[in-house]
Amino acid sequence: MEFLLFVLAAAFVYYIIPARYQWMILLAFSYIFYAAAGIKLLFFLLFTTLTTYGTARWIDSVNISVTDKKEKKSSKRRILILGLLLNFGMLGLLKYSNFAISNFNSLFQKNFALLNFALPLGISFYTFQSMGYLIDVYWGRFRAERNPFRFALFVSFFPQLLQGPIGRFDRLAHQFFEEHSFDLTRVEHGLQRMMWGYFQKLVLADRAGVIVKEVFGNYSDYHGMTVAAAVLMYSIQLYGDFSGGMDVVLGVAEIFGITLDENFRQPYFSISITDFWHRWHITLGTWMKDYIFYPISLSHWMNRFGKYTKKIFGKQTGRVIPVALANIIVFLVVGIWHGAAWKYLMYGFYNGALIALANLLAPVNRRAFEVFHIDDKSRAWHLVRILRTFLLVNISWYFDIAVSLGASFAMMRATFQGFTFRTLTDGSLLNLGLAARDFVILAFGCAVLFAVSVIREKGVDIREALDRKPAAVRWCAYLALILSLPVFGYIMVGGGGFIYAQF
Amino acid sequence: MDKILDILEEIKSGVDFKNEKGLIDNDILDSFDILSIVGELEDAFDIEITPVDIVPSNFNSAESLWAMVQRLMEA
Amino acid sequence: MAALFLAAFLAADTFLGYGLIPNTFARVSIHSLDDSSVQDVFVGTSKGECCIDPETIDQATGRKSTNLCLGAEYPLDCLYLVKEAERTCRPERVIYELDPCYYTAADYTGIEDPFIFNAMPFSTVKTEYYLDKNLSEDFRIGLFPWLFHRNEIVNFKKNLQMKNSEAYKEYSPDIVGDDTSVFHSDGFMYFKRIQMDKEVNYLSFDSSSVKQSRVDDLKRLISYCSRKGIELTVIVLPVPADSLTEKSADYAAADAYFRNIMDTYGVEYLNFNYLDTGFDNSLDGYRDYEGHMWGDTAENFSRILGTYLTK
Repeated sequence: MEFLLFVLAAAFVYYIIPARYQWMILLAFSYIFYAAAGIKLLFFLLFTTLTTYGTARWIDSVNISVTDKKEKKSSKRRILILGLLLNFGMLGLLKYSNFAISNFNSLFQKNFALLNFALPLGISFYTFQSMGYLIDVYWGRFRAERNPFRFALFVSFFPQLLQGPIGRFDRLAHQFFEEHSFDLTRVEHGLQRMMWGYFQKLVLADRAGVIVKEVFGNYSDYHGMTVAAAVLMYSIQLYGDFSGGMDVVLGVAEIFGITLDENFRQPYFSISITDFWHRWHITLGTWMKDYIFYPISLSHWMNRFGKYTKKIFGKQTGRVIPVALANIIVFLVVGIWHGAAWKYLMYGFYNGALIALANLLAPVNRRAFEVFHIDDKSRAWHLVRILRTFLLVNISWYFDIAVSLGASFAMMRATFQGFTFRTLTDGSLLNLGLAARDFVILAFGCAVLFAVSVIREKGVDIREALDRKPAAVRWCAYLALILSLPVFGYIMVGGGGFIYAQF
Repeated sequence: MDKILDILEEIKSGVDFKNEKGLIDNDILDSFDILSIVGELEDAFDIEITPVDIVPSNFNSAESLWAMVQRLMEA
Repeated sequence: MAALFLAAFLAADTFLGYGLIPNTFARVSIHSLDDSSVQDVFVGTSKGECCIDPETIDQATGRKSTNLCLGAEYPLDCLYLVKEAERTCRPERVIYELDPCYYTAADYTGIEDPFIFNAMPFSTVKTEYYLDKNLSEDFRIGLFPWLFHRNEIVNFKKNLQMKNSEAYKEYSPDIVGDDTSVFHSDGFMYFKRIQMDKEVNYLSFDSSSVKQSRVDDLKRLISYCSRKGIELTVIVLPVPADSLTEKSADYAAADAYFRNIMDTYGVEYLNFNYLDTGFDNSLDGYRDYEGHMWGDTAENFSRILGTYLTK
């Protein structure tokens, strides 16, 4: 409730004061928000803000003052590396030092103490967002922000601080610093989006999460269909939590007149793993694409590698191999971004390998379609691809949610033991913490979610479509949505936060 | 300009490159296509394309690609 | 338009509350504070609710008391009940029934709520209570007061009818609870003796598992009473002899822990497990091993408690 009252207070002040000060209110409230989590953590936010601001302006000044092209380039490069090292180094130290130390210990039979740093809220998100900005300045996409306070808002804007989306300066800056007049429709849309987000989180995610926690937390007790069911539940939980969380975040931003980048686009309708990463955690994918994938793929050494593979494997295949390699590298980073554990690396590698495989087998697939007379534009094939992708994604969840890499493999093996569909009807699913009624609510909620997803996939803006309906219809819809939260929402015993807020 | 069209058609068939203005915005080209195009353009025109250049405003149409190539040739 | 929608929403919310929120013990108990002649207020747990009979106690002390003890009433809740009492009837004395297991029990949210918050009339005390207890909790608790009662949907019509009845409007204790007990308007719950298996739920106490936040709430209660000039006495109810023997170390550890706190703050502390009162604490007088007494046992105990509370 604190959060809602906070947003209310911020919005109130935001629209009362003269519009040219609005961004300052956002900055102040963002810092209050972050400080409320722990005053000491502000140090880290300030560290990233100041170092990024400083190195970006330094690069700009080199652009102006240094005339020799070569010297300019190498100077800028050194400043960029400094900025990247400071910030990714900080992130690495806080997030990955324990992982590094414990692996070093087991490899070399040592016993160095773990450092156990507390992870500042949102550090993975704001670090990546800031480094994207620095790289953009280095590439000359835009000039560095001169006003340190304005820049501070870009780093700390509270709705996106905890779980993204990872924003771009050129899309956000002008929005932050424009004047926003109070627009009731826009505020209403924002509130509606927030309610929809809470629906997904409270009705679907928190409920499905009960099963996930029970089975994955006590994985040696379960096998067969129960494990498979738990993985499916995780599909529901993770989507409801993260996408629902995003709806709340984007809805809040909308109230202030800020449009953040979309992070989800009906990901379970994906037709391939590649497509999945264009629909799931979109801003992480595009960040990786713009700042890792293309730079790697266009780099000199990758160029040389490409020439080499073209020579050995011929033009067709040879062209694909560097891309496949780049994808694997990118997804290893995606994996490690999620956390400091081998299972996350495996998660990344699994995704990268599947994409790389798809890249490499593309011509083989095309040939297979011809031979087997498969019409790859048909609805049936489209459905097959969706289901196949969904299956592959669910397999990837084993690496994401299991407590360790070993546990994920154990659980995969366990899934095949005693697998029977009878588990669905013999009542064993009712011993995991949810009653029959909960499953009915989940089914109903998923049906609603599915319907909304289909509508959105067709490109319809639901809020605007609703706006055009008569008041009675609109009001019924809004009331139903709002009341579904207390009526059908799951009630946690002992508080629950959003999953991605811990990254 | 014709060279551009040739390269595009070789990398992806069945697209009206003469008239299409939303190659990126309409998800017609994926990142693999883009890299292939970059490779071909670099070879054909002896230019260096960097990540900064990979933006929709350059890649959305054959014309904008040609404009980018000309810019890079002059640089 | 938006304002109208808001009004419609509030109307729907209130109507739902009307039909879903049942009659609760808390509502009846808190109403007893409207009597300004109340001098002594008991706060505490479900044990206090069924072991302390104000009527019997008043016969001994010659004062007027009321029992605000309820199940799942934690120290923070006790604090706000005392504040509410101070707001309405300005008691002279508060007797806090301390149950050590409430200091080590796992963290709770919501479902176990004794619904004290809902039962309180709107006031500054209630607002403060909300900010203290529920502000950082699920937002639905504040927006939808009927949240934990949503299963009452099956009784919706009955609740509506009940809310319109005279008995409800007069805070009659007859229409709350079930056949196992008789609830009194002074908050005393008289358990009728029945044949049942007694739950084995003795105390497990270890000072390292005490939740500091609850001790802090207790200290706030102590300092609030001191500030307002309200006399405070802390009592620990006698448990069945079987429990005391079985877990003598735990009960002794709890006693030492809280006795220490009370000594530090100079608060009168009476642990009836270790006082020679002549009270018969055989298991037969209780309905479980934790210490919930049958009604007649409670009346016997209250007579004794009354003598200790006589000034």
